[in-house]
Amino acid sequence: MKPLFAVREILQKQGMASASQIAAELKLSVGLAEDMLAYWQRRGAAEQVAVGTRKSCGGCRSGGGDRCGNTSASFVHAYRWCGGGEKAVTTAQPAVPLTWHQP
Amino acid sequence: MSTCHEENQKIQFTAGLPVIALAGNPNCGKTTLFNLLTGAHQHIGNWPGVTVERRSGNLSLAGRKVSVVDLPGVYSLLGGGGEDQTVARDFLLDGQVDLIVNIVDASNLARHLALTAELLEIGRPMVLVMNMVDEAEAQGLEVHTTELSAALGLPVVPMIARKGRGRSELLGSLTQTLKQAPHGTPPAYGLLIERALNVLTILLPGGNPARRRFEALRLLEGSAEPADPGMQYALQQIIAEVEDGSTEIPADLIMDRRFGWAQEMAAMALRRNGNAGMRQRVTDLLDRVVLNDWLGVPVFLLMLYLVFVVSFSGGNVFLDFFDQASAAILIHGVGHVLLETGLPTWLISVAAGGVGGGLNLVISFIPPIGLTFLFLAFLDDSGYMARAAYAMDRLMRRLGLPGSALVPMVIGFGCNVPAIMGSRIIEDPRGRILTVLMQPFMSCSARLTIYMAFAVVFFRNNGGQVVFALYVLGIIVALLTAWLLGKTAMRGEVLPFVMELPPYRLPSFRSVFLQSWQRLKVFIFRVGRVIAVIGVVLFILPGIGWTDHGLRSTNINHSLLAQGSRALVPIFEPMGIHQDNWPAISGLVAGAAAKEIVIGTLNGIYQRQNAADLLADYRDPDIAGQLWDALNTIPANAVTFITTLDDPLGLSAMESTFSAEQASGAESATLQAIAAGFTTLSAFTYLVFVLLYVPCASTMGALRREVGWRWMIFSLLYGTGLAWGASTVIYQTGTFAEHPGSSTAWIAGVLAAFALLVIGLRLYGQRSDMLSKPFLNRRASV
Repeated sequence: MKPLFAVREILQKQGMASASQIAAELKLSVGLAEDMLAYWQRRGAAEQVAVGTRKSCGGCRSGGGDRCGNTSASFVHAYRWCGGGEKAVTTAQPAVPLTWHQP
Repeated sequence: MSTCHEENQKIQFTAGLPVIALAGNPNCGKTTLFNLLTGAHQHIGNWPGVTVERRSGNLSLAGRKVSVVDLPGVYSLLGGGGEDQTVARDFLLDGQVDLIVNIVDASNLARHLALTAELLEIGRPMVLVMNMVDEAEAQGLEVHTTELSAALGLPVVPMIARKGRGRSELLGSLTQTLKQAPHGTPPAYGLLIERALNVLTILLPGGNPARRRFEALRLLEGSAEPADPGMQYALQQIIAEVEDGSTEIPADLIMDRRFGWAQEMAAMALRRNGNAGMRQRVTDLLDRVVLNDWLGVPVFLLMLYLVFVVSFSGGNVFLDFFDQASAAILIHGVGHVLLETGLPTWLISVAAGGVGGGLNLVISFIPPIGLTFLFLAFLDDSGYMARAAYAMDRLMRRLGLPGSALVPMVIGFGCNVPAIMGSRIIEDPRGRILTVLMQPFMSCSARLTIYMAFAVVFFRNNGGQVVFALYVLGIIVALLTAWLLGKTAMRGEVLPFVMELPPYRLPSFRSVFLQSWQRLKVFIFRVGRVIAVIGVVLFILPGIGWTDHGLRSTNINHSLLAQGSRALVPIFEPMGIHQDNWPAISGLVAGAAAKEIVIGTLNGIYQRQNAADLLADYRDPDIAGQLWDALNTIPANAVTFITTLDDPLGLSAMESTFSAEQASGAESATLQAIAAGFTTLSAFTYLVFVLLYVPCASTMGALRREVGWRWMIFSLLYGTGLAWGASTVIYQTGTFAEHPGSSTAWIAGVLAAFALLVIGLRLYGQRSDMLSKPFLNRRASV
């Protein structure tokens, strides 16, 4: 499997996805998916966005209408593909002067 | 792969004590391990030039003192993170380190092994500590360090540092490693990258091939700069060669392989077992099916089918009991009591027949609707509904909708009002408006009563297919409406939908019951209130009418209801409703307030037309006998439920008029009158009209609250126009042979009107685009 490119493919296809969505789709750990997303983010090919979601108490779904005040907003961190994750893009890593300690 | 890593060699210690560096991701248990190894022999200070704490201590290994340094957590040697990570990175790359102890969290192994890959590339002696194995085991994972050790070429020590477990094994391993240091086996990067690395390794100065290889990797990844222009030129040539042979850049190829390697190593070291492992396997298996590109949508449709089977067929087990018992008490019982008290006849009729009859109708719906809510809550709590939305995302996006639009649509099968409220889960305003405007076309449970009454009269042999066709027609019209509006009046980008997939879990009975009870309670009170009020109105309107002497009590055929309905009949004649069938129009007018009362209205009208004495049922009601009869329906219906599981709507079992009455809530006089008033074709067009026109006053109220007056009025006119147009086209097509000229004119007129609507919507969309562009430009310039 080429997990980094698979992550890119999902983002390109879906436009936006969260780390857990990608992890579920590729059968990876969420942590590893987050690291790969962070890599594309550093490369300037993806950006992190906070997507608002509303957690419903169920009352709204039952026609409670305006009376239901038992809802709370929460945010899911998702990643949006900005494009340009192919060859021509320069790496977003800060260049470090090549020095080496010789023991 | 370079062979330099395969040779083990004796460590050449740096000046002073040998230095062991503890390295790993943040929160992997480094400091716990540091404390476990060094105990009280610690020195705390700062790293030179920065305010990052430096912790070091001494450890005795087989009588030999060594220094242990606890490095700040670091995710990658390539960059990123704050000052503390820079300190750790610099020390690992350039510091006087004789042995690296890489600590990884076994419960999150793949992520932590990504750093291990980078550490292996440095070429320093290393030991891997797999910490927190207890947490991995709690997740149902079995730890296999032998295979991992062989693959990495390193000692791998499983530990639970906070409990001190594995300390002696680690000390033994460190002692051995300091004597004979393994360098480990870093990931292989494939032919293209390995060839580039070999060339660069030769070109780079320095003695240690492993470290030159690491420098080469950093150059290829762009995380280091070439030391001189000559090397710069060589690097460009090498990168160009890699890019000629691949569609990817070298940095991406290297990172991809590193992540892939980490995943492979983690899979080798940890295997699923036990209950938790079984649970994960079940989750994986279920997800493989319900999230599958091809199976996801059919599985969702199957789940919906099952909800229908259990809700409607299961609800029918108790429907007759609720219907008959509430009729016995609220209509006959209340009527009898009021009659005994000597109240005026009209008041008894209004209270018992109007209010009581209306409430009886609501109570009859409690079993199927309650079960629908119960099973939707079950699916929601189990984690399936989120996956259904995910599976439908692709189809929905093609229609310009987010996948999450599916959730309100499903709720719409129960009631359109909560479906419209449920559209709030869609954050994108455009997607939310489109989703809200779709909901009136979803066949709610109230419409089902009308479908069933007509199905058993006109479509006895294929009623199931007709009702299913109406449900599907509603879905198609809803989706096409969203697509049409998305292409014309509401053009815009479809924002991708993001939904966290919750884990599967067995829903708690209490949670599911409470959730569905809350929904049912609101439904009963909301609908009950509407029906009670309208029930009163519908008992008054058929009793009074304009006469030569003004507004007077009159026969139903000359009542206000009849006069008003007859005035509207010409509008409905193209769809097959004629003057003598004016009660059908009354039903539609009442249905604009609430669909639940369409059959009730027809019931009331036909009863009045046929009954000589409205109070006959109240004079001597056998309420106890009626309640006993109601109770006896439960076992009989339970048998029917079990034997008709393959027919969720129970239509094939309706062989008699009696069972049809039970299913629809209509009495036989009503069914006979319906049969007399319609042909099969006009009955179908009537049902199509019922499906598509304004759903109910409550839904319109919900629409206004969610998307405003303008869209509410649009929905009202669009839905009613579409209902009329579709019914007219169907009827005129069906009767084309009888009057081809007028049928052609009607069909052409409807199609022309629809074309005008599309043009109007398109112009509206273009105007909206023009108005919004300067705004967007202004925003961009800010």
